Amino acid sequence: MLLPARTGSAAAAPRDVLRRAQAPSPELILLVAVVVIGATLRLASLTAQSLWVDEATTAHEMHLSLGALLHSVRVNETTPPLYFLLAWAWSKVFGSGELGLRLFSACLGIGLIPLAYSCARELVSRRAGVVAAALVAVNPFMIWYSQEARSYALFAVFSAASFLFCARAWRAPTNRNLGWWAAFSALAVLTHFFAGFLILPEAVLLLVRVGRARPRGLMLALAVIAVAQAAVLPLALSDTSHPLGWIKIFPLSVRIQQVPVDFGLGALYQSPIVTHGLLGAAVLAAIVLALLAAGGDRAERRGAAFAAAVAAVTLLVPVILAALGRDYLVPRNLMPAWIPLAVVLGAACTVPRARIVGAGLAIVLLAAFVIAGVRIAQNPQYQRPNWRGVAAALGAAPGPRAIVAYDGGFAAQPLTVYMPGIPWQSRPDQVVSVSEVDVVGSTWQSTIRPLPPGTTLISGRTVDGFLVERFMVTPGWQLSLSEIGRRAGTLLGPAPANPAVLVQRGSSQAPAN
Amino acid sequence: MSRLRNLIVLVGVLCAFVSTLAAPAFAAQSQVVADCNAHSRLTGHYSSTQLRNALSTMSADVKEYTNCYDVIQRTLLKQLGASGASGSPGQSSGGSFLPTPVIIVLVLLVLGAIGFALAAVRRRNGDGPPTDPPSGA
Repeated sequence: MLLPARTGSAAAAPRDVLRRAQAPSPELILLVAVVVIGATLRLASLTAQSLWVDEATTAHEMHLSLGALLHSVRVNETTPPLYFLLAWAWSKVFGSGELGLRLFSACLGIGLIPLAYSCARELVSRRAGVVAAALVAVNPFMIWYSQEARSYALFAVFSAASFLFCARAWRAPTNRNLGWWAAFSALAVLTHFFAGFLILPEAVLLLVRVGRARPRGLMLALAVIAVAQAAVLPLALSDTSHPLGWIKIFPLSVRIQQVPVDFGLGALYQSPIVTHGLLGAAVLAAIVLALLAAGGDRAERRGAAFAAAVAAVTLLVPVILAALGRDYLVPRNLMPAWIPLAVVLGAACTVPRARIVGAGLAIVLLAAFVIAGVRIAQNPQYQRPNWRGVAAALGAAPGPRAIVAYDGGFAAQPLTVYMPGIPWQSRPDQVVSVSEVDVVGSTWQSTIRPLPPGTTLISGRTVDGFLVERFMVTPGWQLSLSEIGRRAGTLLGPAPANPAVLVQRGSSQAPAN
Repeated sequence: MSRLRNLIVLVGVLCAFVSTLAAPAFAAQSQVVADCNAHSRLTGHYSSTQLRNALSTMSADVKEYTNCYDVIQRTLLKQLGASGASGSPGQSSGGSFLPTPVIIVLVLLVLGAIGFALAAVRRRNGDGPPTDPPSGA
């Protein structure tokens, strides 16, 4: 018996259902678009800025043997060794130049975008996930550290993965979820000492969740993390003797003000806007609370509260410790709080009963991030110092020359990376003979007139706030490096007390560009 | 409501706590830089010579980790502008690393994506059953 053929809407309906079931969800399409935008923002300008002092140290360390690298990390660095080991292996494949080193961080930074989506999807909703991913994709703070050859992008990724599996374990404390949580938490601990401030609230929340049952999986997970903590403890103790005193030069209250501005607007913390940071954060917090209270459903509020609790402890415990004297607080160290905060914002922006206000908040936040990114892109003052440009302005050296850099150690190591024939370290009492003395100062300094007898200005160029002047000295100077640094004050002034003095042997090779 | 009130009180207490954190001495720098470093702005009045001197002797870490270079430079340029002086050595030569049109296109893409998302989600919620459960383990 033949069945009558189904035509028209009766046949189309199941096909529509099937097509809709097979088609990717709008959220997935959006996530892909957001990842593409985030990747473009990170990769298109990856080498636009020079390496700064910390990155120059990384670049130098990538040329060491594995043993020497570990020694250097222990002696010179203030973080555990995992990033340096991974970057060292990476550099053997992709090189240790600007592009090769930063590409590692860029890939991690791009990976952070879907991770943010997963965190918000797990705790709130897919829509919140898309908003959280979009915030990560265009945020100048996240873009900055995705383009920095240091440990922060790796730290952010392991922290986000730890947070994701904590959220999953909070919903379903299976051995699998707890195992992944333990693994990523341990990796985060091996990447940065501040990871503990994220893992602490995560562990407490999981312990509260399981109550008195205390499943073996959770105890094992905590033991794994404790072992990782114990492994880095000697490093942490010895690192407190490292030159971290520079942090305390800047008042804690100022650094606290910087946190919301740096988190939201990146390097614009170097602008006067920083004084409004806490007020801005308070207003944003009030709007988010009001949206969640008025427009969110119970499950969304619960997920947002979980993320907010983790973020609050991650931010506040270091502040309290700093106030008590254990002060290592700089905004980038608080990076693990960023993804939980993005989840809270994603939840507020997508509350079901206040969609227009929520969408408005999302647009305002995204627009603020993009405008900040444009300001940073257009103003070299908010970018990393242009040491590559300074090296190009110094040009090739026909004979041995001294380069006096008024920015001290901040200048010495990047210039060593960009200019051939300069040793990584020099002794201040080392005596050298040079016929050219070049001074790298600020555009607010000026050439001393009249110049000392026998001194001729060869060239003077400005590079993004730096004044680069080259002098011929006849007869040549045969002096210690510290004396050359002192005498540079007779050429370009006013001079600082402790400039860096580099000696470059004659090289016809132009600096790397 | 009482929870919300408690939260507001807690935030207030934390803000008060933060504002009382003492600023350390900053003896090595000029008075101008010390003032800016302690307050993130200039609380006193300084001559253009003092401001210029502060800019030319500012250490690299203060430039890197505070807003003092920007704050002092703006104040100096304002004074120079008021006195009719022209030209400012502190102005850098520019150097956008991402062309502004590209950024504008990206902004439009983001805004378009948000609009598309809202429309798509609304359409889907209207057409079919809600499909937004947490993923679970």
